[in-house]
Amino acid sequence: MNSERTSKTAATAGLLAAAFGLAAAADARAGQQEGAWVIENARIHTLVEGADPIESGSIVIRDGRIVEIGEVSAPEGATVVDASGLDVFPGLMDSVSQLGLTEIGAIAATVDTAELGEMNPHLKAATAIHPASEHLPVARANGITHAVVAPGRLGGFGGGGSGISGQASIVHLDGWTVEEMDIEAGAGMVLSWPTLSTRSFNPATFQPERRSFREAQEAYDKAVAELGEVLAAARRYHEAGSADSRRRDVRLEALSPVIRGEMPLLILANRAREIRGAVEFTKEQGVRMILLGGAEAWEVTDLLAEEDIPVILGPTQRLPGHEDDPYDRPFTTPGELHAAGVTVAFATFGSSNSRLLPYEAGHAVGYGLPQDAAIRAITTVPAQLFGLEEDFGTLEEGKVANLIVVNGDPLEIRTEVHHVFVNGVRVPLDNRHLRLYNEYRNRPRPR
Amino acid sequence: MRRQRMAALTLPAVLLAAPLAAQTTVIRGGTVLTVTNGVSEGPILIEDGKITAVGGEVHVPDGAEEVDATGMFIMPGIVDAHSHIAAESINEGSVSVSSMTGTGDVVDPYDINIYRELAGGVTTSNILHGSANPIGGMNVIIKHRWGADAAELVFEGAPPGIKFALGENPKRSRGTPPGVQPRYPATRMGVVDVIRQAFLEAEAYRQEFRDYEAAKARGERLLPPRRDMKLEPLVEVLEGTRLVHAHCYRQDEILQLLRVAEEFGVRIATLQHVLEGYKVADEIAAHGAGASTFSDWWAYKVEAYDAIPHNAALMAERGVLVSINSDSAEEARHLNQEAAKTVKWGGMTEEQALATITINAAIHLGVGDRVGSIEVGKDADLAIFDRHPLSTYAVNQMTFVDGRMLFSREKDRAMRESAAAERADLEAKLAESEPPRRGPPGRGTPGPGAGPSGSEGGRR
Amino acid sequence: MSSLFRRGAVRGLGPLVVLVLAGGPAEAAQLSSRAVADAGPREWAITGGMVHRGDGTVIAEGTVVLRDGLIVSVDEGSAGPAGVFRLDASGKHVYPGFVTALGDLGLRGGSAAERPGRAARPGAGAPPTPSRGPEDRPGTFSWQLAADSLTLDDDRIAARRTAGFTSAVSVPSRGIVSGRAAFVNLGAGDPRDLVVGGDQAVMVRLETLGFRSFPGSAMGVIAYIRQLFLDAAHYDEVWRLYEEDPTGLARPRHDRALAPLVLAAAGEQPVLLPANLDKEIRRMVRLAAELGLRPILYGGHEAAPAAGFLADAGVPILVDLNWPQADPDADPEARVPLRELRLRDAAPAGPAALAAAGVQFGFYRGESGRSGGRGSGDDLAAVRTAVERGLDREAALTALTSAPAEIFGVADRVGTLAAGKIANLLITDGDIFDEGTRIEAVFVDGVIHYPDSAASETDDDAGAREAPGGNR
Repeated sequence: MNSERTSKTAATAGLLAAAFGLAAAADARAGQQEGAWVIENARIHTLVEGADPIESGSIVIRDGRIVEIGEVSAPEGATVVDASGLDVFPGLMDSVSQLGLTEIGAIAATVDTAELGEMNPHLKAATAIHPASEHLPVARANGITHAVVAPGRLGGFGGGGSGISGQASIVHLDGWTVEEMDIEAGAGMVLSWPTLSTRSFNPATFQPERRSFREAQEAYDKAVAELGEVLAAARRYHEAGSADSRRRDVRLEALSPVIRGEMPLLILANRAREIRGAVEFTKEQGVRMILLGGAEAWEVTDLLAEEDIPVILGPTQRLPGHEDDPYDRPFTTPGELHAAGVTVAFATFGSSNSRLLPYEAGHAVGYGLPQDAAIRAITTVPAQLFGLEEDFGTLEEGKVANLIVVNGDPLEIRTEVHHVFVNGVRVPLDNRHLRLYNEYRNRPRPR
Repeated sequence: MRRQRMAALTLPAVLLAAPLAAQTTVIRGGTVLTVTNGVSEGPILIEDGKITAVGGEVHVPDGAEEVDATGMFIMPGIVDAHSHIAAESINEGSVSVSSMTGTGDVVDPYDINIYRELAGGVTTSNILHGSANPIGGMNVIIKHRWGADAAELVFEGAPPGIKFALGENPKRSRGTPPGVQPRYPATRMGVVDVIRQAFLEAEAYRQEFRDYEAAKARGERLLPPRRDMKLEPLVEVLEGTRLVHAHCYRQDEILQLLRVAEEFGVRIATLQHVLEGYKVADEIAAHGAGASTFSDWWAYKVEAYDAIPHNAALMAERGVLVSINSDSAEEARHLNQEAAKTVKWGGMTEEQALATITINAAIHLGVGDRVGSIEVGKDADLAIFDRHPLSTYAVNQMTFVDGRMLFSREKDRAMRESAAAERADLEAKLAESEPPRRGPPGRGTPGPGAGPSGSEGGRR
Repeated sequence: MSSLFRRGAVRGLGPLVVLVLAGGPAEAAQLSSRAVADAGPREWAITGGMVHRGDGTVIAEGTVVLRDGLIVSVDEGSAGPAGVFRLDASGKHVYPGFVTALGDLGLRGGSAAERPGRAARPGAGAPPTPSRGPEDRPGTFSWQLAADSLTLDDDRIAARRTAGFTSAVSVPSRGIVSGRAAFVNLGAGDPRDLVVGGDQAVMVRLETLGFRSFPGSAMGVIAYIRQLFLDAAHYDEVWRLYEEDPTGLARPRHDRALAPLVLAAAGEQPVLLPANLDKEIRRMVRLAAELGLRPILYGGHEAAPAAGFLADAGVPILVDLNWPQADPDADPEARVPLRELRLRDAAPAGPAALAAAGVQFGFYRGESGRSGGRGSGDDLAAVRTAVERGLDREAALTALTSAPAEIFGVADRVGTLAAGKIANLLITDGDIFDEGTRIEAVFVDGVIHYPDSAASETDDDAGAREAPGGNR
């Protein structure tokens, strides 16, 4: 037994650290301990399909994985965390984020989200993830344990141009280096689908511009055709194989897993027409598609269900795309997709706001998405979407120990996160915000 | 100082009539979150747009409208102290001092965000000028009387205000395009200087008129000074009759503003955003400024890098009156959730949290005697949620403004259907009456703006 | 100007009339088009037609006698004096000439190249020193009189005249205060002879000057207009005081922008204010009331809901005949906002609502693009659409004739067919608001201008030439 047998106190201390900042460690990593852990007396939400929560049980963690779960006693030497009255859930997964790629939005020097050019399949987000980003501990402190980090301009309706911006990487939100954080460096190929719009904004003149629908259609068709050509070239390159002595083409090489169906295309599309176009394209090309964004996915639910296209929804908390849309259109979309049998995950598409992931999901619950589906949409579903279900998404023996200990429903804002385990290690909840809070809360009154 | 010429054209009386429906409504059942007097039971009686009874034995007149709120939570209509909706423009960025402008001149009653926010329980919003200049334009406070015209949206009797702005935005830190002469100021030093100079100018202007009136009273003959609509709002600021709402981030700029204001005997009504307010909360409290902040935005620019979600709670602990605002048509739709974040981060009580989006914001705007809590005598502005409004799952079911139910989930559904039917009708009708769509493009098609008397049609 | 007659006068006559000069038909036949244009018959008797006087009265078989550009008499059944050109209008209709109540007709020809306001627009040539506030008088050309820069080198004049328009209100179209409007006859000859009223209203346009120059926003423009008229009133006051007795007074500064606005600031000259939507109508009426201005609104596509408001305020409005329509180049899948559909449907019904509410209104052809207007169709067709949507024919005629004359203060000269008034009139083969009715003759200042095939043929060319450039 470790000295942290005073786990009740520890839990309380953790809570206080989180909420009132009384006991935050000066060293950000002081709370981290290797070795075995046991979380006791917890209500365990395993999220295993069909299984009820374990009302009071333990989870034993060793070497980064859950080794036992249920009514088990603490093994020798394990650090005990008493979770009486608390709930344990799988760690939350932000299915699309830019964590670690950007620090201060307005300062270009701190932003590594989008490379120049429209065809960058060989670039990987993991290459540029900054492990010391202040955003990571902030997200982590609210229960986000791992995230898909995607390159590209992900905001808005067609605001970011089109093309392949690179490969998304899945990382733990903890690690001394990005290699330690690594879960899957090449998790998906991010493609911003071409937008068909008669209106555009010219940043050079600061003026909106218009073109005829025909012109817009032609530009769109051309862009889609070019994508097809790139995949065709990748296919030729792949078929030529290693016997071909040509100079390596890292771009085409990077597309090989896509054309082999091993890596999904993460296609960012918001308008119904563009979603249809993307579905048709991927069907023709025989490649896997995951839809990102999907603001108008509600218009094509049947197609998405029929073709089994999963959707990683953009923020629930956004404005309807059209003034005549129902005011709650973005709030009801997740529930509508779910009801139609479409697989839905949530994502923040951001960095500083990644901690709000559970509330993006929670907001949809009031508008028709079942609560358990909302939780799954930020845990088990994204794990499955990225082929990580062997290791992530549920609390089961053998799985990677990314989990959170909370005092209630994680989708409720007032719920507090008491402990966060990433890769089998309890990580401190300390972060920039808590440090500043503690510092200035203790500021003496000015004389 | 704001004498207007005798109008050659008189305003029709209809413009000035407050849009109050003389009707009586009683809301029964439900939990009443009064915000100022704890949690209470209903019923709530509404007469002529005002709350006339809360709880207890209520005499309900015959013919009163009955609203069943059993199992629901009734809170005061949400007050958003920082909004940019319902305005056709919000930034006059060409000048460092744009106090001659005002969002009240360009209120857009058609903005759908008025309704969307109403659906989120918002009943009052402070429509501010943007943050492009150290001294910006005048604001207007509106009630979300969806369907009313621009004049009727205006919160009658609300004190006038003006926007100030500090830091990165007014100093144009994102740069000036090539070929364009940079606009002063470019530093925080210059920002304070602009404000001080403007106050000095306003003082001189006020003196000019005083001197003129005095000389005239002495019987001297002289020319009247020119009225300056840039300086008149600033004279009102000096005289304490116009509230200053100052956009700010960093602690140093906050202090500088408080000090320059004090130099002129001015109290800043609200510090807006005030993301580093927690660092100088004592100074803010001592000055007497209110603080209206976001719940948890940070890191989008350097001056927001030290923003923390505990800001509201910390400032409140030190005696600052704090509200949570949206600054966003989207965020305004769930200010109840934003308020909940003050409970999570910083440990505010639920009542304190609700106060940040109701009574505190109302006090910030100088309308605390009219709205912001459920009390007898106040405007019947109410939001009725199906769960406690601090829950992520809470959905606003009905919103009342001046006692009129301007939003309900039920009405909204009905409206969707009628709108769909109307659209179908209009599309069919217009398909008949309008010329068919143009053929293949390429032929001369008149673009937008083909000026007055553009192309001439002859006889055909 | 003889372009209308290039193809020959007789051809343009069609089956309408037989010219009977005192000397006999032979002389008429020999009349050269040149002669008509240059000198023309100075006296006419138009007989037998149904004369719509424009004041609500109609004479079934009336005689209108014109002499030297004026109407000498309008009566029933008289033969008219002897020795004049006679025009048998039996079975025809006679109307006062139409007025297109706002635009820049006659200001966009070759000699109108001087475009006031242009220099103040960023992005148009070398950027000038940006305006830093109202004191720089941004976009203000109040000293510009349309009457001073009229030219007849403007193809649109002939096209308009062919369509029955004998007068126009013209005003420079660049800047915030772009100048002062002239009421002009769409005749020929020396432009100086065409001015009916030279200083009828001040034109205000809500134009912003870009991000870097004041005013750069809608509210900035309104703030500017407010300050400008306050300044003009002040200017008037201090100069009066000074001129009363300058002894001991600091001399006020001259300001060429303010001096011409003094009347308007005192509510003595109308100010044209743009107001297309209901909210804009209310906003501009309130602004005018605040400043003590006498407004004439222009735009009016969403006039119907504001009709009662306008009637209460007693404010006239000029309705843009460029009815909003679907954008032919739009994305077929794009969802058009319901309120745009409503506007497209309701705009042509606006005049009926105005008439019913008793609002004085005229018609003009405004900028296309605003609220989806595409500039298709001719003005008369657009008025007919309004008639189909409930506008009383008599009210429509009033809006085309006497109402704009009254709004612009020249009703004592034009707008109705009455003795002593300017001889602007047209003759049609049927009721003007019936589909298919043709205009057969147009008189401006007593001079006959035939709807000329050459003019008609050039319409499309003119449209194609003008449209892409427009006046942008």
